[in-house]
Amino acid sequence: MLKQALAEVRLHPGRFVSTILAVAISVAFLAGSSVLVATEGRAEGMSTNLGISAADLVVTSEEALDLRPIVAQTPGLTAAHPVLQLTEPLRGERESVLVGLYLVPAEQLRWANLTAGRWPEAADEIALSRGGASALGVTVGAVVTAAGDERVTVVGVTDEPGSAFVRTGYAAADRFVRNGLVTDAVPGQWAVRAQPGADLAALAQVLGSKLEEYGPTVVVRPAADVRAEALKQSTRGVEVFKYLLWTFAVVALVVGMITVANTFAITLAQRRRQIGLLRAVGASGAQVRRRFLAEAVILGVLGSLVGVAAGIGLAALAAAYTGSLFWGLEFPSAELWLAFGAGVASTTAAAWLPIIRGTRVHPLEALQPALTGEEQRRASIVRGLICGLLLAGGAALVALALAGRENAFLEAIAAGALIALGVLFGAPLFVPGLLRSTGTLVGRWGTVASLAAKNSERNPRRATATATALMLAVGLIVTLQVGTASARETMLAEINRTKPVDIAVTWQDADGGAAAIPEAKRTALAMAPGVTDSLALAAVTALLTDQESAQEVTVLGYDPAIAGLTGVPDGVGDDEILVGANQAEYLADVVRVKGPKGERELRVVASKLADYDSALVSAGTLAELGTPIAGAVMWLSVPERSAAVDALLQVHELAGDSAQVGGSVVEAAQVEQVLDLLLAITTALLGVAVLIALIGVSNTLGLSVLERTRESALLRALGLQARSLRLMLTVEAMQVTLVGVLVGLVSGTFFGWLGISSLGRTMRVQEVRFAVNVPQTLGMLALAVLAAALASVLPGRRAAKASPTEALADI
Amino acid sequence: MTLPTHLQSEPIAVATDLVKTYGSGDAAVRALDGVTVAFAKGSFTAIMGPSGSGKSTLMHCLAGLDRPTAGEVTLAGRGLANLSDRELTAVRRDHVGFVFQAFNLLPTLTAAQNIVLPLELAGRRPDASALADIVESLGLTDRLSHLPSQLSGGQQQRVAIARALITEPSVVFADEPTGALDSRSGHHLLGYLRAACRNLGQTIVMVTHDPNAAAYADRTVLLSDGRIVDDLSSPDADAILAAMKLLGA
Repeated sequence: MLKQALAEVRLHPGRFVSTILAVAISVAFLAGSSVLVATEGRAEGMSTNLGISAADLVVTSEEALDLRPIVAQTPGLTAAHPVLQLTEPLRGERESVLVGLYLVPAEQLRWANLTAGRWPEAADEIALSRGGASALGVTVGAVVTAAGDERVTVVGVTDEPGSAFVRTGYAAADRFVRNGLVTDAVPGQWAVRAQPGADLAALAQVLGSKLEEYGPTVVVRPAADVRAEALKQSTRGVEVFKYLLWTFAVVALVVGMITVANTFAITLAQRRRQIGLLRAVGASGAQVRRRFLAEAVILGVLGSLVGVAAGIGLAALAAAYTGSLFWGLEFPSAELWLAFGAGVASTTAAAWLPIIRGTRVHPLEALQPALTGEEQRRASIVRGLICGLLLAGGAALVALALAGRENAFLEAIAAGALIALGVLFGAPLFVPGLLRSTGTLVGRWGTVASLAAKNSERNPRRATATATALMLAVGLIVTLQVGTASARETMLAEINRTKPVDIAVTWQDADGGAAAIPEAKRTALAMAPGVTDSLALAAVTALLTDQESAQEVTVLGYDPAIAGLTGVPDGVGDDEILVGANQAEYLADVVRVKGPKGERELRVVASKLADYDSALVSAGTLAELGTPIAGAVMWLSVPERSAAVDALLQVHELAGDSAQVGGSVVEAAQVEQVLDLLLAITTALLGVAVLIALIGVSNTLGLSVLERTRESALLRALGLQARSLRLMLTVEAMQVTLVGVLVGLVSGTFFGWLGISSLGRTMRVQEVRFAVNVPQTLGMLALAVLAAALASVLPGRRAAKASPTEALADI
Repeated sequence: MTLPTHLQSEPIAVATDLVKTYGSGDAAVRALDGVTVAFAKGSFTAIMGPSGSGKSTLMHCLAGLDRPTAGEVTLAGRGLANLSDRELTAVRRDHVGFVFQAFNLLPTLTAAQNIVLPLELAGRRPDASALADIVESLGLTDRLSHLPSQLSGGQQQRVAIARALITEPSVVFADEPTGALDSRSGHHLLGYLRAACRNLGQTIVMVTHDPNAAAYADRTVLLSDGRIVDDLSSPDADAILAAMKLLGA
């Protein structure tokens, strides 16, 4: 029986390609995310433990000690080196990057090799890792700028890439010394190398006893243990990404299951004759079912194998792109087996019900001419009841979520799940009706279109299953899109409400204290594109203290023009200090403000004009605290949102490194950036599910074309042009897709609105805004419908290519 | 070869030296081996022969459903050999009517919609009175809004005839039209065909293996092994049977 099933798959590969594809895609998603996250986590761990990656033993100590002479006297140990790191911001051609500079290790303890140049020796020389060099856009011999405009030469480049978050480089001992660090006797981590083949446990003991005099804080451990522990920690840190990705993969898997179930239903309907023959010849119902189940399992195994391989390949590509591939691919075998198993299990589960239904064939059916597989439209009462219950439950939860506050978001999620289940489960009840309505619209476009419309309606169960997969995938995407668009509008409204200052430029001197903005820059800032009004304020750097905290802030002097610029009429008395609303909450009622010239005790008043690092006092108070630096801070008003981006770019360019740029525009830009990225990623991830659903559309169409060979031949004989036949199939595909996509759109919009309003209520946001990014959403819908048209191309060609006589001859 | 003397009027369909081979090399099969035949306008011809004689292939080539390997087909004065697929399709739509043995109708369309389908495909509107006449003469007036699944075999075939007649084609090709019917419905159907020929002057070419069906026609052409072996004028069933027995010898 297994042989028969295998033979069937080998003989008719085309029939099974789409099933294998659907399974392979979801499994590739699961396996790929697993491997990618594990690899990234490992790379992360390796990068942050570079210092000990070549060591055999690791000594950690809180006491300063110099291991080198001790190691020299211990037989079996060859070298020791402190793991010291300097983190410096370096600026190259293009950008400023934070680089972790390691003290150049002794030769035996080096973990990377030079690909060009040499190791740094002087204080102003450094070497960079490959990742660091490319981030800065420099090569050997280039000069980069460190803090304080110090010029540093890149004398070498090594081969390790660094992970996505950490850039590494190397510096000589002199540089460390110059920065006030000692390099011979230090606390912290020491990397120790032993002779090859030595007994590390014994050596650890020996070394440990020698270091006892330094106290209990000295610990000697095998490096492998320390590395493994660090690796575990970093992997745990990235695990959340894996779970996030797996959530999307599960969605893809569910959509895949719907597709597989539909495919099996159709193919079994077409093989009714074969099944009838088997039964006529003497196979029992159970034997027939087992045979088809075997086919399903084989398909699941094949698809999962392809999926795991493809997933690993994709993960390798992604890891190569981020540079993590340098540390090698990590294969979490348990998870890969899980992905494989999920693929096989889901295929079998999806095929199970269609097989049970489709093999209930009477032996006589083998002898009768094959029907076109039409079915009666029976509204199932049971289905209606269950659907009704689900929807009623969902509606109740919606009411709760809209009225409640604390748990509104959770209730909204539960409501969404119930309603979604109700809609998906009840699809056979309303999709045929929708097909009929769209059919009457479509049918007005000519004979071919009306033929297509009628074809879509004749197999309601099949069309419904196809549309359901689309509903699920599109619904999720639209929910995310609407949610994100609404979140953006809400957050921006919130920002605008709480931060009246659009752009604030705070000039700084070399030490980070307040400095006056140069005249030329001030004029340029005032004339930046989109800036309609500006105000220069005097500032003093002061220390703000109360009983519990001390904080350095830039204290600004009040200027009456502030009211006009920001629209906030708050004034400040001579004994008051304006601070941000959040600070006002945790500061005492009275704080002491100490400036360079004097100090005052001031009453704390919350105001929108102040921020977490700036406060406002009256001009008189400012003069008492210190010499006010006039024009140290500039506030710019950019009322037009559309001009905000240009304004911000110009301001950043003018400000360079010498100033801090803040304000509502800056925050808004950050919010938009994060949300855009989030939306892009989630859309791409859900796009996988949509892809599978569209494969389902192509599949359904292809299989129904097979069934209708005689009809297509009849139409061609009667005078339908080949092109018109292909058009008919395209219209059919687009009609079903349109129905699925519309339902997904409506439900997605509803869920998005529900989610955002509940989330807003749970997080006590003042004003929740509902928004739909129309071009984005409509664009996606148009894309889906177009893709459906594309999906109909192959089946259409097959249908039109068949010569009328071949099909008609088979009576 | 000269035209038979009983052809009084201009032939509406002519096949000249038709050859159709399938396969190649040793496995080649010559379904038609040099067939020349002409059909007069307004005639009812039956093409008969044992299985494998090539009668269906001949009909396919005459109707523009298939292209012969060699030879020429002329339909209403138009040669079909050099037409593109688009043009050939248009010829079928506007100048040919089809009645097949079974599966004649589109299951999603009502009887009325099936009947006017060729006109709709051509973008033409049916003439209401012509449609009514055809429908009435075939006894389909109260069946027009039914789906094929709601019609009997004989009714389905009559709908197919109505569809074949509505475009006023040059020739109606019928391929075993009574093959799936019981004898009574079959006789009724043949009666309708003959009436269409007599009353509307419709040229009909019918492929059949049943001598009783062939007896309804004015002329019977016998094929065997891809060649015309006999051409009988207004034969009765016995004469046809006798002619066919000779083939077996």
